Amino acid sequence: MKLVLLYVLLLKAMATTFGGTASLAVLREDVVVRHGFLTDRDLNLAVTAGRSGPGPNGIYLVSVGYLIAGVPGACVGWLAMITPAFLVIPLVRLVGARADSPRVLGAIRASTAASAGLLMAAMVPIARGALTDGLLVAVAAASFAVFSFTRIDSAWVILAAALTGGVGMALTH
Amino acid sequence: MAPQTPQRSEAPRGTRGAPRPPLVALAGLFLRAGNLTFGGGHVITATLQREMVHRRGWLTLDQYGLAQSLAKVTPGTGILAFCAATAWMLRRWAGALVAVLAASVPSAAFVVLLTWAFTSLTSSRPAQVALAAVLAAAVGMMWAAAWLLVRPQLTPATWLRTGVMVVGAFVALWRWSISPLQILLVAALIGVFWNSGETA
Repeated sequence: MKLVLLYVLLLKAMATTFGGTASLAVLREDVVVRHGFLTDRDLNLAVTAGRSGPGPNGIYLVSVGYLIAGVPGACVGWLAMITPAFLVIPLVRLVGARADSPRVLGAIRASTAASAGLLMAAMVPIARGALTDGLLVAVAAASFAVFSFTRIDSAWVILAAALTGGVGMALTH
Repeated sequence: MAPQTPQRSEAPRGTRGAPRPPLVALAGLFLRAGNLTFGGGHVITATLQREMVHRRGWLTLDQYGLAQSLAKVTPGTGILAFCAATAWMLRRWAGALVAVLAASVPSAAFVVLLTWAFTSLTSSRPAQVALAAVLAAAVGMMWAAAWLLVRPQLTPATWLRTGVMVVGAFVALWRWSISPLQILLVAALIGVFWNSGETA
């Protein structure tokens, strides 16, 4: 039963947003705030794991599923990630050229902008838990800059952060 | 790498009479593009464009462009919708299923291993410190992800609506705890009426 509920919650987050990571706010509301399946730190860890390897943006759902219910949960997360992709097929068959209509594009772009605002709001409590000293704030700022303004792969950013943490500890102890 | 915009005037190699690619060949292509390509969706679609349109002649540029446009209006992970759409054009449902499985299963298995590794890193102090720094970096990345969602919409025609949506959604969730789903729905409704004749 828990797996069914998990699938519904993960699918709800995925199928109501555009762009993979935009689902984070909806997901946090359900699995952290409402049901308490995960802490903010767990969710952040899932996002980190998703960003550390290749694959689509929404792949952190697999990690979320794994943290909640082990390997069966990971399978549920994967299923929830891929399910909405098949909605494109009826679109290819039926909607076709209407995807270019200004009203459809306006709706998609406005909700995408809103999902960016939601993502930022969802990150506030996660950031409070993760950024507990000056070095960690600097790591987050550097990560933001590198990720926003360069094409360096996220796996390198994560590796550099881990090394920075290690060097920071060696210098302060 | 910049997203590749299909040039409709450029004549692709004819695909109408081309034989349907075998499912094994489709699986091989999507396996490679989906799991060995770092750098996100734009890099994956660029790889697939090169292979499916220019090298193998499986799709025309118009078909590729349609798949790309429709993947953008499909909820969820756009790149998987793009894989499903292009593979459906070639081999219908069997192709779409093979493409989505091939593009996602190996990377999903890898993410499980990574999650397991991260959760196992709690016993030693150096590992804890490194993990704290990695989690801090993830916070920066997610803020950057929000910025990257917004950046293409900061055009003279749409910046005001974009700003109102971002700030409005932030405040609605953070200060007033309104359900994210309701916020997204209201934003979409506003976008239906507040648009500037924009095109894809």
